[in-house]
Amino acid sequence: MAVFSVFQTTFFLALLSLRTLQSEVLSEPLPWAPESLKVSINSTHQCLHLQWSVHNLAYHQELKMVFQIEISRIKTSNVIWVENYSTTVKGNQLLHWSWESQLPLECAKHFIRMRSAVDDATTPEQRFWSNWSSWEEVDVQNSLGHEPLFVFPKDKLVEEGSNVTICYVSRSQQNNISCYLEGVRMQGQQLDPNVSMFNLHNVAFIRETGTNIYCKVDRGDDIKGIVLFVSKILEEPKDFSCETRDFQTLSCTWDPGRDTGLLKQLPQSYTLFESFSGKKTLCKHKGWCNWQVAPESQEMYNFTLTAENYLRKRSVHILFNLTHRVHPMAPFNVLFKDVSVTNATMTWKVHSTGNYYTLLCQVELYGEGKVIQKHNVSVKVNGELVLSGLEPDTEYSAQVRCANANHFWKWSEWTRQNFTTVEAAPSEAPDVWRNVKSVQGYCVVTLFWKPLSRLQANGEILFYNIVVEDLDRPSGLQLLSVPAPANRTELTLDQRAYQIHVTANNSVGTSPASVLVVSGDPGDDAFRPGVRYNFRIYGISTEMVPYLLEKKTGYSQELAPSDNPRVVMSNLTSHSFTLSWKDYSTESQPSFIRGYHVYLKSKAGQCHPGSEKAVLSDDSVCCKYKIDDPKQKMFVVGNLQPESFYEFLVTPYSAVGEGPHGAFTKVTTPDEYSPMLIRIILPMIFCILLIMILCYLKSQWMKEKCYPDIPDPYKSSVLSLIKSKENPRLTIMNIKDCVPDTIEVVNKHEGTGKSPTEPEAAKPTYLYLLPAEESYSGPGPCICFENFTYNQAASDSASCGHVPVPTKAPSQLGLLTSSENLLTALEKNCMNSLEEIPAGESSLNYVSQVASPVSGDKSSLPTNPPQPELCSEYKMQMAIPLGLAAPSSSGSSSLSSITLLDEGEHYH
Amino acid sequence: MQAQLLWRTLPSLVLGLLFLSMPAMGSCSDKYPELLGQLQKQADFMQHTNTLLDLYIRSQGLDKNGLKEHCRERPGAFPSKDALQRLSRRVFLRTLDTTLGQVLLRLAALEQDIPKAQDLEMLSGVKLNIRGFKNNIHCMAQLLPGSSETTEPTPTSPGASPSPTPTLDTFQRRLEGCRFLHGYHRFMRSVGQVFREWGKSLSRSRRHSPHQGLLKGARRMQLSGRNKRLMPRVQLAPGSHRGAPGG
Repeated sequence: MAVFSVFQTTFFLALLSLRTLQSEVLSEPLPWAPESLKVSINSTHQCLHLQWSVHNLAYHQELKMVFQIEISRIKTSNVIWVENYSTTVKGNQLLHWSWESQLPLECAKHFIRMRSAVDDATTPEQRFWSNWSSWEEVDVQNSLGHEPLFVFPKDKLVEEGSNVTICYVSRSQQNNISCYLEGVRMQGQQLDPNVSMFNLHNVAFIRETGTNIYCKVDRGDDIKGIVLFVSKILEEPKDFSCETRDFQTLSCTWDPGRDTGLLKQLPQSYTLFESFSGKKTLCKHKGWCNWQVAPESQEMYNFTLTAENYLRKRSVHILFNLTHRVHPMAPFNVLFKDVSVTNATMTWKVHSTGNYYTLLCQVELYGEGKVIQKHNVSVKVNGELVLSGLEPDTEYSAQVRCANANHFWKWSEWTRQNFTTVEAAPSEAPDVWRNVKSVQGYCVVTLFWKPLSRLQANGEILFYNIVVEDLDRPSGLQLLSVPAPANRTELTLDQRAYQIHVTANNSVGTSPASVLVVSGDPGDDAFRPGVRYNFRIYGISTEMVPYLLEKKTGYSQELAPSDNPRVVMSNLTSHSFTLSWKDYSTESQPSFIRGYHVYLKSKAGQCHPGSEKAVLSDDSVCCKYKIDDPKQKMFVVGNLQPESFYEFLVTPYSAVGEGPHGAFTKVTTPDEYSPMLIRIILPMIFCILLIMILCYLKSQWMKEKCYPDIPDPYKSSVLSLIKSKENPRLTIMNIKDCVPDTIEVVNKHEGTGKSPTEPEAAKPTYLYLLPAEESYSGPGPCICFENFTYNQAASDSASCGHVPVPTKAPSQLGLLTSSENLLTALEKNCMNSLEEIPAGESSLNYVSQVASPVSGDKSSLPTNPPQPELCSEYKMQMAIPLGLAAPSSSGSSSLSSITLLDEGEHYH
Repeated sequence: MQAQLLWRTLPSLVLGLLFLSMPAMGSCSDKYPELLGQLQKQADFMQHTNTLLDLYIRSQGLDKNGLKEHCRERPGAFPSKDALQRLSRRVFLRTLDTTLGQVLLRLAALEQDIPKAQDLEMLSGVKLNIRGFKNNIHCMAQLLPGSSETTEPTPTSPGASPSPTPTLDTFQRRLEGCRFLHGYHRFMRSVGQVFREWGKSLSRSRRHSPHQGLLKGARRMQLSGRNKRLMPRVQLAPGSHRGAPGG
């Protein structure tokens, strides 16, 4: 067969080649060339339908051919589509092919032509094509009519997100036409002078009635438009499942998803197909469908659910075993039998699902609205369960549901039924107490009892039996029956001892008896009014051991408080005072004290918030403060007026009244300012006195601290040394060598050691130098004190001079490490005027001992210069002969003084 | 939105119930002023665009600039006010009845283009009102003198054809529907004005000639007997109701 086919194809190819050659020569159509090409249009679907036949193909011939189809738009040279359509052609067969245009066919002319070739899949490049057919023109515009404006496509149906091409055709080139999508102008593309197209991308669903697109002639009243029906995308059905309840019908359900929004224009259908049986059904409903189970016991089902509309088709599949999709029907015929006091047998039936299926049934027992028991029972056909642990005479509700025990799928619905357990005899004795009174020689005994609770009664209590046993006469019994719901009865007895038995009875039986004894002496029962009684209630255990159950306190009759508390007043101010009655005992009162009333009388008669007006028995009006807490035994009476007269009373109150309104306590508030003055002035006076005493006692010390005496150099001990040496060549410093800014004569008195060379009148014994001018920025000048006794070359801060700035502290330290260096420094730096002194002559070098800002520790000397301190403390001074000057190892004052005398930092 | 719908639907329902109450009462009202007042009020109610046109415009998406301007009544679709005023009362009523009949047919066609159930419910209320109004027109016609005489020819209203040309596409049909409803409301306004003029002439005639009023009352007595005979014919109309708001 294959050999024949190959031979036939080869033969045809050879023949086709030969005919091609001939056609070129003779201009005749090749055999099997397309002919009778007809083109029709479907405007709604924007489709071109082609129909043609094959030339010279014999009736019995069958040939695999390929047709090449070309489509041009507007003009033939503008080819927009080329497609090879392969098919097997039989003799005289009419061939069809369709093409959908994105552009509405009314918008432009279309041209179609085709040619054919024998389809040889092995050598496609060696195809011998027939001649092209002539162009077939499709021009829909000719049939549009004579209206001035058209818009296409009409009523097109698309899914949201699609791309749509719109066009308008105008009959007049003069018109200026604007097009709008839901009122928003669109920008188009001109195809020819009369036609423009608009590409809409990703169109959205706007409303169920479609999207309005319209075009208007700018200077005219003509409007044309289309409605574009945009559908939401058909969704795939969700949660598709099938189940059976009776093995006869499969019920399949699904969620169809959101609506497409175009149910009128785009109806959708749901189809159910079962592949094993090959059956198919069109579902009438949107979300569910019933399927008849095959009678031949088909177990496996493979369903395909197809949702479909004009634009889209969506399918989902499920494969399942029927027995695994059993949703049992709700159990029925739920009954209760053998209902007793505490048990009941529940029975029910289930719908038959085949004899070989076992159902698992769940039973829930409800008591007072809550689940109190849960049971699981395996059931074939009939279910049975004994419910135990029930309470007598109680209504219960039980419900049952079932599911496939082997392959659980779904529970059935619940089936519920109520039942009530039967009554039992009351389980507890009634709680009885008594009241005994003596009336005319008889004992009148009143018996009270509490109704039994539902759990104790075990049914409806019908009556109470009271048996009175005369203890003196064992044979004497009285029986009294009191119908329920009475809770008391009265007995009149002789003044003898009786034992009384009280029982409660329902329809089933009698409760245990509550027994009490009446002694016959009513005095036992007498309680005095206004006396507080404390009770301790004991229970007796089964081992006959008493144990305290409860403590009770009470009065047989409460009386009004008999006395008022003793009140202590404190914290009296001009506006308030405090009342307290802490020693008042509430427990010794003739009633339960519930609180206190504080009465306050005043001349003003006005009551402040927190109090209320009260009229006393003597018709006097006062303000009443109420204290609700009996434990609160203190009260602050506020909002008072200074220098005012008040009266107060504190009295307790109880349920039966308040204490006696005895005498009020009087109080007058003090002046408003005197306490304050006393508080302030007294401490002040005390403080001032203390300071004065201290000042007097320490006057000498204070004088030294605050106003020290200025040291007198003439009284210095150094003078004695100078005098001893009697150096007549004491150098007198020339005033011209210094550059003093200001000189102030502080003190001036005649010294004993005057220099003969110094003018007497102009020589101060002590000079105080004011600091250099502020404009002076350099190191401080060397300030010299000159008199007969000493020479000082130091920029002493204590003398209010500028401090020379030590630029190189380490080198300075180096200088200070040896006595020689120290001496050298002293010689070089301090004795500026001493250069004029001949060597070997003794002289005094006065070193000021001012408080140094640095400590004596050499290593911690500051690199920054100390700031001068004006009028700093002037310390004791000491005159040191140069020859005796030695480095001090520990004197900080010496170091600091020396530090001030840096090398090259002194000035003349 | 729900409240808005309720406010729009409520008057329709009330009117509908009033129309329905008339058959229960057994016959047309033979009180001319009362019936005239009812017709006038019904016409005034039906002229409001929020009873029908606004709903249509919104549902069809015609509430866009550049589009709603084209929702204007086509000339000739409904008789103009002047044309109605020129008609004799009898012809006027007949014209009114015929036109409203065509409106009912057209509304049934428009119903196909309204997808929402709420809007459809409202449209049903409008149709109910129109049917009730038509029945009141019948009642009024019975009260006019010479009701049994040969009827005059009714002027046609070519624009109010049951439905536009079936070849129209959806967009054109939508615009035509809008224009039709616009014309309907304008027509009902004109009808209301005509009825108002009837009322004025009635009060004038009462003021100037109370005796004539008595004559008219007598004529009404005669007409009421005839009216009863006509009742079955009125009730045969499908879904016919009578009634009026207020009265």
